[in-house]
Formats: sequence, structure tokens, C-alpha cells
Amino acid sequence: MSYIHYCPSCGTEMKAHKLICPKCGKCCELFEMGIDTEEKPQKPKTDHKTIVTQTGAILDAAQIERNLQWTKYRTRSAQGFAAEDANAFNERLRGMKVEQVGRSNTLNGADRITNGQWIQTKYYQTAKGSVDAAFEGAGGNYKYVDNNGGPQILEVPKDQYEDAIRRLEERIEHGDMKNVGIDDPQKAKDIIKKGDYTYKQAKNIAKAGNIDSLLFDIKTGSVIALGTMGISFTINLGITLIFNKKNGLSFSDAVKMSLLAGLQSGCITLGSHVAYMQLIRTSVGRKFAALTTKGAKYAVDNIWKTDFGKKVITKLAKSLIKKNVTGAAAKNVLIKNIRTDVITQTILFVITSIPDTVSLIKGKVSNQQYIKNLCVGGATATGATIGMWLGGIATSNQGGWGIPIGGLVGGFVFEQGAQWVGNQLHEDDAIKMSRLVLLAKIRLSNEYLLQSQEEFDYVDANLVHYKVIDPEFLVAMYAVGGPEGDDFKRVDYACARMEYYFEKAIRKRKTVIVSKAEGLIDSCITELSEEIEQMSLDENDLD
Amino acid sequence: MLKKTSEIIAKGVNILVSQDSAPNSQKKKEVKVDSDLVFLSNCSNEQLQPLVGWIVYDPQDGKKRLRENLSKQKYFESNYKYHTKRLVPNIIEEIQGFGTNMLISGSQYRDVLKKVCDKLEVNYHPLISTERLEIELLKTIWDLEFEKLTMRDIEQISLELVRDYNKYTDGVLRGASYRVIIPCVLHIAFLRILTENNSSFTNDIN
Repeated sequence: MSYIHYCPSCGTEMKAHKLICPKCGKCCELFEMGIDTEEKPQKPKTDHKTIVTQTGAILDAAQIERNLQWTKYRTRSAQGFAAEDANAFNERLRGMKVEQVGRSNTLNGADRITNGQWIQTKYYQTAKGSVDAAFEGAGGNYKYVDNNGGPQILEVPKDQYEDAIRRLEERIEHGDMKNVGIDDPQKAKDIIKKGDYTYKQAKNIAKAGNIDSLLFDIKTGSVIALGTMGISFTINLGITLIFNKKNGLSFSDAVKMSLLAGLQSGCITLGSHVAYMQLIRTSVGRKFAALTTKGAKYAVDNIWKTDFGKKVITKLAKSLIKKNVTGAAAKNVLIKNIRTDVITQTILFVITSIPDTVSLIKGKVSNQQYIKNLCVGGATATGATIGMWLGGIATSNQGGWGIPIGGLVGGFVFEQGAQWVGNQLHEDDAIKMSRLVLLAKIRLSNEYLLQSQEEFDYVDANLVHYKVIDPEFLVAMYAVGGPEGDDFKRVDYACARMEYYFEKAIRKRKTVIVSKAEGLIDSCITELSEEIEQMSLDENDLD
Repeated sequence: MLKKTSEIIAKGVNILVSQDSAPNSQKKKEVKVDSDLVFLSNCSNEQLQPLVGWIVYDPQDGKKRLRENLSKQKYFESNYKYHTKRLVPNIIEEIQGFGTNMLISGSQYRDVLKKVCDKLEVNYHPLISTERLEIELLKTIWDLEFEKLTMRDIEQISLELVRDYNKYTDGVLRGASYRVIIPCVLHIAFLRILTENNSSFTNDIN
């Protein structure tokens, strides 16, 4: 098609099938009709689900760093570390107070302290191996002593429990536990603790791509996912109830909708957690983690150079692990947290951009809209992270309760800001489509000869009541334009969708039955048309 | 007395249509007697075809519904176009089935109608007659005179209403498949008005 035309508003050259100016965004036909399409500036929409899931990802990153030793899942004794994490997590779920003190690498210290009980986890291939590992070689003493001078509890694989008791009885009989005051073999069953996982399961947990590790990841992710679900539900319900009059939803519908929104946020958080945990068990994930660690280390080292930086890092580290840490330890906490945070946010970003990517491939959104959505998503993630840090620093002495709130506020502020900037650069596809909807309405009004404001209002009320012009319709309308973006096809589509309601408005009119007075009506019409003709002639003469 | 008469008619029609519906079939399926739907056997093939359409196909993608059994009948293809009346027992059975979840056996049409009325927030007295309840339902979705209501309006309104229900979760979580029963109930209510053909009745409604 060689025909081109120009935007009557800004003079930009436009292709034949275009009605919306790519530069000023105005609709040519509406402009020529003198209809002002100058809308109020777009209000940034709040996608609280994204903000909540980003905050959830940050909390998840902190939780992963606090509770899991995933960096050791690649070592020779990976199953031991995995078993430590998995058993400790189960105890937390049972409501026990668990402290994973094993990370301090104190010589012969406990791996964890559960409700004040010192526990040493030993996961070896055989029961003999698991028990003997707690002794100083063959015939040596029991290595693990608790704070009262007694033996630490020895946790062994679930499938080795009975054999491990028998082996420990032998060692007690042999006098190997006299150093901790045990000489009665009957006490072996009090010292040996049955782990929740078998040796094979623990081995699997340390590896990616198997049922055991997936189940473990779902379990560890579900806690944060439930939290995210709750936050999302509460925010959504609050917003829906505040704007109840506007959206016209009943309380039960609002609860149902909020529940669905919460479920969605929870599932996204859980999905990103599982994806993260599986990824970091692979060599690619490890390389990525190493790279981000390098970047985080560089940034933290530079901040550390100033006194203010030191204070900030120390406070933030304290908030993150809920413990007092100083110096290099604080730096390490922050580096590890940034590393995990960057990876979880990246994964979440990829997951949340999948629907937009699919829409782009299907031609349901423009390239500009896609980039805008990605930028807003990226800005929300950044804002949530910065907000979380600020919240953590501000509340470091109060247990770091400001972390989630800071994340939510930061995410919201950055999202709104990014949307505002985005709106200045590129109008949403939906806004452009709504201009074409207006054009379609005008066309249909002319076609159906709507005569009064009442009729227009009736059509509008029907369109609103049946939710005809909803986001789904606008997306479909955009897609109808095809790769060329044919605005005429889009208007035709909108006309076809709304035509029924215009026809209905016509049917609302009272039917005039012309019977006996047919002649009289005919003469009145003729008289009226002559009068109109005369009036127009008079007007022409005046001109 | 009236109740007894309607039951006798219902049973009679039921036997009649079940004999008629599967002439070559050895098995004759027992259909729950539903006196409220007896009138369907008086409707024309053209009037019943949209009803079959709503039961068998999903308007979103035009594909057959997973839960429907109507099109799986041997005699469906041969009867659909010119002998739709023969499918009436199966139509009734399907509507009753879609009114509950997959595990519970079908409920009566009146219960299905009540479910739709509750969903569309129709106010009604519990003892209201089925016919009257249908009119109340139609009044909530149609704001013009009843004489102006056409089959196309029913289709259009049904299409708009079912958009609110997700194709994949409808009937799984809610118990009843509203994507099917809303159009079917509206259609049946409209067919009843058509077949009643009682001008004083419709005038009274308006």
C-alpha cells in the first residue's frame, strides 16, 4: 500500500493503515472531528503482587543464607550438610528452637542446638562409619562433648538407626565413652538420634533434579511463600475494600479475589525459591553465584572504606542474621546476602516476565510496552532491595522488623517512579486502544443514529455492566492489528464487539405504529423537510 | 391433583422420549424425572439446537467440553440436526449433571435454576414457582420489554456472563459448572416463554 497520510496534530508521516500517530499518540480521525483526546496524565497503576513477590524474594534470600549451607552441597561430605539443614528445618517446623551453630567451625562443637540440646549430625554410608566418625579413631574417645561435660546427641541416617545403636553399644562396652561419663551400653539409644532422612535422601538433597531435593526446596520455600501469600491477601483485601464503591465488589467476592491474588503471589515466590535452589546446585548456578559474589565483594569492600560505610554494613548484617556481628564477619554476611538476593531477584524477574514475553511473541503487546514492563519490573526489584536495606539499617536494634516493610515501601516508590517515567516516554498500548474504542463508538453512534444523551448513557451503562471494554478485550484488539498494527482492523473489531449494545439501545425506543394518521404524518415530514431545506438555503445566502 | 397430573405427564414424556432417543440402542438409560423440563419435548429442533450447543461446546475456543457426555452418544450425530427432540432426555441429564460437581449425581432443574439465581443475585421467595423464578431471573438480565427478547439476546448475554468464570476451574471448585448452567437456564427460561405462548401471561410480566 503506497498511500500515506499525515498526522493533523503534529504532521508526522503515517502509513495508510495507521490511525494513531506514532509520535504524538493522537487519533487522526478524532482530531479531525474536533474531539479532544488530550487525556489526563496516566496514573501509575500499582501492581502490588509484583512488589510483594519481590519483597518475598528478598526475605527468602535472607532465609536461605540464614538456614541453608548450600555452598557446601558440592563438597565430599555434602550429604552431611544437607542432612543438617533438612533435619534442622523439620525441627523448626515442629516448633522447636533451633540454632545452627555448626557454621562457626568450632573444634568438636555442636552442629546445632535444639531446645538446649547439643546435636552432632553424622551421615556416612554405613552405620559403623556414622558412629565411628564421632570418635577419635579406632579405640579413641568420644569427640563431642556438650556444655555440661556430657556427650552430644549423635544424629544418624534414618535407615541406620538400629545398626548405629548396636555399634555405639560396642564402643561403650569397649570403654570409648568413659571420657563423657558413659559406661552403660543401654544408654546408646539415648545418645543416638534418628534423623528424618535416610543417607540416600540426604545425598539427593544436595543434588539438583531429583524428587528429594525438589520436595526439600518446596518445604523450605513454603514458609516464605505462605508469608507472601498472607501479605498479598491482606494488601489486596484492604485496597479492594477501600475502593469498594468504585469496583462494586461484595465482601465475599473481595475475599475470593484477594485469596486468588495471594495464592498467585505465594506460588510465584515458591516457584522462584525452587528454581533458585535447583540452579545453585548446578555448576552453571555456582558460576553465576561466584560472579555475583565477586561483584558484591567489590561493592561492599568499597563501602567498608569509610566509617559511615562500616556502621551501615554492621547494622545491616545485624538485622539480616539477627545477631551481633562486626568486622569481616559483618562484611561476609552482607556479601552472601547480596549474592543470594541478586540471583533470587534475577530468577523472579525472569519468571514474572514470562507472561509478557509470551504476549510479545503472540503479538499482543508492542515492543515498547514490553520493554516498559520489563523496566518497571526491574525498578521494582531494585526499589524493594534498597528499601529492605534501609529498613534493616533503621531497625537493626529492634530485630530488623523494618526489612519487609522497607521492601514493600521501596518497591512501591520505585515502581510508581518507573511507571511515571515510562508514561512520559511511551503511552500504554491500552491507552491507544481506548482511543480507537472511542472512535468505534462514534462510528456506531452515527451508524445507529443515536439521538439523545440518554441513549448514549444506556449504551455506556451496558458496556460497563457487562465489562465489555476490559483489559483482555484491549489486548485482543491490539493483537487483531497484526504485525503491521492495522488500526482500521482494530476499530472494526471494536465495532463488532460493541455493535449489539447500540442495536439494543435502538430497540429501547418506543415503536410508533403508523395506522390511520399515515397521510397526516407523511405531510408533516414533507413540510418539515421543506422547512429544513429552506433554512439551509437561507444560511448559504447569508454566507 | 395438579402435581399428580404433571408427574404422570412427566413420566409419560420421559418414557416416550427415552424410547425415541435411542432406537437402535439395547440399553435404555433411566433419566431422572424432571417435571420442570417436560415442556422441552414440545420445542422445535431449531429451538433446542442452541441448548445442545451450550452443553457440548465451550464458547471460548469452540472445543468440546471435557465433562459432557451428550456428543459421546452413538445417535448424537444422526439426531443433532433434524431430530434434536430425541436428545431431550440426554439434554436433561446433562443439565442436571452440570448443576453439581463431578462426584455427586445430578440435581433437579429447579436446584440448578436456584444456583444460577443465587449467583446472579436474584431476590426470590423460597416457595416461588419455577416459572416465576425464571421470569425473575430474566428480568435481572433483560431491561427491555419481554416481547423484544430474542434468542440472539440470550446468546449474547450468556456469552457475557460466562466470561466471568474460568474455563479450567469452573465446576471443579464451585460444585456447579456455571459456564454451562447459566446459558442453559437462560435458554430454557426463554424457551418456556416461547412455548407458553400466552400473551396475557407475558403482558402480566411486562
